[in-house]
Amino acid sequence: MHTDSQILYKRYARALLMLAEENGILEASYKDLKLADAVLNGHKGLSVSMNSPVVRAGKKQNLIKRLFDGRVDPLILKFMLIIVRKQRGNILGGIASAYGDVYKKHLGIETVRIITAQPLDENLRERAMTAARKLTHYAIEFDESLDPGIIGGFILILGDKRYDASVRNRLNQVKKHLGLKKVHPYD
Amino acid sequence: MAGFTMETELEETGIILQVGDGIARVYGLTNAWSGEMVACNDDGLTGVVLNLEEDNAGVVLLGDSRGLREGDVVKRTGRIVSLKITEAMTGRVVNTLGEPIDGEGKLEGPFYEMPLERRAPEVIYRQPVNEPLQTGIKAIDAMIPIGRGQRELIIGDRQTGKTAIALDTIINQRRFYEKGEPVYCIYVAIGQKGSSVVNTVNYLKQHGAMDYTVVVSATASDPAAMQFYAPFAGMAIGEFYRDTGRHALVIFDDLSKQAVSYREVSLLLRRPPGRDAFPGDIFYLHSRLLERASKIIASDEIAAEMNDIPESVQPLVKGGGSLTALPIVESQAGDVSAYILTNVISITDGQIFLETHLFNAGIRPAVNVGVSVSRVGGNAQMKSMKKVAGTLKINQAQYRELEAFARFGTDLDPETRRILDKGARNVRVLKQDQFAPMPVSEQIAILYCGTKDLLMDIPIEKVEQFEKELIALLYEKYPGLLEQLENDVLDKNEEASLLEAAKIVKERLLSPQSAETGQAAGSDSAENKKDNT
Repeated sequence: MHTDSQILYKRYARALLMLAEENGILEASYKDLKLADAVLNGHKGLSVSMNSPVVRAGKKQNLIKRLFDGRVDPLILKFMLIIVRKQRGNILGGIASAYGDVYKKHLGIETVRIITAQPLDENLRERAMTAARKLTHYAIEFDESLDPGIIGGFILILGDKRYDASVRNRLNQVKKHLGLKKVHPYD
Repeated sequence: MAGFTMETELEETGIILQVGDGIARVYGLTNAWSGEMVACNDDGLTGVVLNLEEDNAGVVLLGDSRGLREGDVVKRTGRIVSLKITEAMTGRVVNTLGEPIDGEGKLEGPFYEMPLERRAPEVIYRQPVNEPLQTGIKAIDAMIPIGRGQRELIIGDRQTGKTAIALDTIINQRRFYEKGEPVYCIYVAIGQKGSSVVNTVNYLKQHGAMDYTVVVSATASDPAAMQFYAPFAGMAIGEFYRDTGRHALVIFDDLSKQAVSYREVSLLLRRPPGRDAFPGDIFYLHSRLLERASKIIASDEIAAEMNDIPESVQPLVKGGGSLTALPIVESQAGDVSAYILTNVISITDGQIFLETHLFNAGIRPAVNVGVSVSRVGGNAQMKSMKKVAGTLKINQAQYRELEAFARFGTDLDPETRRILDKGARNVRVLKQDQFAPMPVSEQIAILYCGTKDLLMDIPIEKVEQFEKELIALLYEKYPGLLEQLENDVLDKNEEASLLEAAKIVKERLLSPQSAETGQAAGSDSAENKKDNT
């Protein structure tokens, strides 16, 4: 997990976003970075060589050029080449994956992670949406994932906020109340 | 299930990046406070946020970190690290978080939440120390008097009787408990063996001292964070009594081990090390802890406005309470220039210095009178005790000096001889068995004989016998006198009675057939004494 580098990725992503907006290629940049994310983080060999300090910057630049020339906007390509030239090739993948969040936030959309035991149905989606509105003022887009371990209900996660409306959590509350589970000193 | 409501609340969380050595690095927790408790799992594992860094928080875990994994979720609780105190805590052994660990079941409420870290009362809510805290130990009550609200350090090498002094002091408070004016005692065991804690608790139980005592235990096997927070927990319990207008005594056994566990946590949190690898704030750690020992102003109105009173205690606040602290620090081979030791000496209002060679010479408690002081206790000492023992300390210091000189075997002038004779007898008078604290009336009676030269004719080896018989006689024939002494009255009448009693005992001891009969009489009257008390 690269969470401690998240701040770094976001900083670069934000800078790139501003540049893209200035040049009027905002939408294209999102598509390009999505492609870059899929390519850079999707191939193990590629990410190993991008991370390797032994591979020289020139070789990495050639690699990037051959991969993306003609497929992405020239500005985005230039950005990637600068990053590689400045010995930061290792964070390129991270920037690409963080770009999506930064872009959506810029447009006023926030991605809320939702964990459910079964695929979302309309009823549950509506309940989750009401709860999610408490978390943020932005428009909401769900990033859905499944975890049968929560038994039922849902868990919403946005940044470090968390709304746990799962059946597992409720059962734990009951257990604590009945003295079947160790209680935290502050409970 | 009555009153149970199920609530889903918005939680603020973080994700564990790294766990190791009782420390977790947590990403997220953006709004967490320094010193906030966090829930590390669903099974009651708590952590405390100690470091707030740019992209993560350093959390010390107050329990077993096994089972925690990278990526686990940590939740904020919105509470500063605190423990819940109840009146039913006396007689129990609890851990740093106030959870009972003696296997005698749950604590009963009502509970009052007290923060472990709390600012000390500001100056306007305080009052100078003016009431004595009776330790029941002659050498201390006479020469190094401790007042309620004072901080008196106990220093000594290992095996010099530091804990014994603390325990005797606790046991001596039994009298006040029976009188209905209890001094609540909190014994904080830090980094000790579990078996030592059990022994201590048993001693206290045997002497009926657990009725008014809480034992806070963080043994050597507990996480370092539990150990370094333990004195703060003891203080928090003491503050509950102090703020509700009662008297409390807290003993930290010992602060050198606490400093070591704080160093451990600090180094693991990557705080820069200083002298002896202790962190830069080790002095502040101890000073802010000990500053909370205080005597609170008598006025209820002013006391009610005291700073930082926890909400739950606010309605109960009363003036006139006190919290006395007896920190213990272990020295290494008599070295008084060690870092932690000098720090704590400079923070406290005096120290009781115990020495190995005195201990081995059979002088117990092994108090080195010359270097032990009490900077504020003099104001709190009983008048009659002051009258009797006022010159004792200086005389004993003089005796120690001359004693070394007299070893050269030179001819001594009568005055020197007199000082030596008197000093040697007073050393005997000041000796005392463990677990035998003495009421102040008895102390005054025997010290009177010592300082007024009434023991000069008694052979040194018979001083202890004299003491025993005198006290037995006083219980038998002069119960009124002891009562007067207890009430701090020592006038001509009392002095006359004391002189008379001393004379009787002296005659009995010095008469030719006293060798056997005297001893018999001694043991008889010892039984009488028990009946009388």
